[in-house]
Amino acid sequence: MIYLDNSATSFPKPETVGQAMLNFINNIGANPGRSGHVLSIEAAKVVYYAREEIAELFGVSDPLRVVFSSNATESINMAIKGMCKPGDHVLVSPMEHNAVMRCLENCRSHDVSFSVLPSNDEGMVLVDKMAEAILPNTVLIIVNHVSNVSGLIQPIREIGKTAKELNIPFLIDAAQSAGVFDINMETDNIDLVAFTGHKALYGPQGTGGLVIADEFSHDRIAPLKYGGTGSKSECEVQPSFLPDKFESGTQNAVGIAGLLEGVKYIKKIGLDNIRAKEKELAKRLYEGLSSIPGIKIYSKNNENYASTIPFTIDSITTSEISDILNEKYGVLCRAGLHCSPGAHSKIGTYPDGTARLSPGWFTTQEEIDKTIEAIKEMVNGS
Amino acid sequence: MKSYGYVLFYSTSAALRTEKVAKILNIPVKLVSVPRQLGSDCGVCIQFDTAYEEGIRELLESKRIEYSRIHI
Repeated sequence: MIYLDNSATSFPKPETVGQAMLNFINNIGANPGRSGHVLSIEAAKVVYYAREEIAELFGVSDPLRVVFSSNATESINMAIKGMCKPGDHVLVSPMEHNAVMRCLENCRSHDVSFSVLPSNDEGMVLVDKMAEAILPNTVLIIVNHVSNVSGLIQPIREIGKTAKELNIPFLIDAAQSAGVFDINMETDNIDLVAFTGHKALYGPQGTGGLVIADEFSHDRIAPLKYGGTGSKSECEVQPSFLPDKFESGTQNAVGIAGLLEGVKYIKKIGLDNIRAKEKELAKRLYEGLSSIPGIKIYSKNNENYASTIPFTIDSITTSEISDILNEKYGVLCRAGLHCSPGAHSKIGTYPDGTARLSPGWFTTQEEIDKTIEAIKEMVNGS
Repeated sequence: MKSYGYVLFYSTSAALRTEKVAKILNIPVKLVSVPRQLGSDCGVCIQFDTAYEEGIRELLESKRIEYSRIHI
């Protein structure tokens, strides 16, 4: 079996991820931060160490500014719903996932409006035209750092610099980028990062978070959830301090134990090495596919693209591509619209979508070569 | 004889952060259960030698760590 669906969920995981989760469930098990006994403290330490690793990964000095959630979607909802009031306006890139778009569509009924930032044909935000899109009531700029549809990398550093000059908070959706690309919230002027644990951070599903920059006041965000935090139990009003303000209910500590190991693993390898390997795999895949007649690739083999390769074949529908690759060749990929109809519209692949191949750190060159051969054979046989 | 002070917190996360930062700054501290007479919410607190009181206060201030109170 050849797994090329890492943009959806990375697989396999480093061995230490599963081991840490098993150790937590069998030997620690208690509720983090709810009691003073030894196992509760052990559980709280695991969660805290994960905060430290993640804070460092994103260039944040205070680990308590890492708020855990179940995934990037929940984190994005936290930011949008927590910051936007009736009459407010939000700016987004044209490459946003439904995590952003459905939340904003829902907010329309609360009199929150949104519009799309100026971009080039590939969907890259035109930084020098950003100011023209700002309205007096714009309260947030949201950009999908790396597109899950085309792999396009947005110039977040330049966008962050401009957002800061315009004094508008800047949120990035780092679902596809965290763990592969360097993100430093301080030097890149990013106020909020929504990340997920189950992709390039090599943690389990059900982990993620919202990271709040050191200098960004969390008073500007209202909680999405209210409830027990293990702190200030005598008070029926939600605590105002981090991370408890946003972390009601018992955390997914077993998942976070796995995420901690995933993050340690990628740091040990080094983001530059991960990016270099994935770039090499993507180049090989891109060049191999380009030589097949009737195939169209919607990413580019250059510095502006990550390792996600979306393609279509003239004579075969995208769902057929994925089915044949799965059943006949054991190549696992994802076909369709990838929860991002707007991004597909932007690159001209809506409503049919694409088949998407997404290698990860554990993908080998041999697997890439076998995949290219499988697609060649499929096209010849169609 | 050493005398100890205690920093009480609203949340365990803040206690763990204080413990970690204190270690980096070479301030000897210990994460302990809150002494019964002091009571508290999150169950654990930081015990420190009162000789380091100033250092502890500076640490909490400079790192903007939310705490409930300091008991000497």
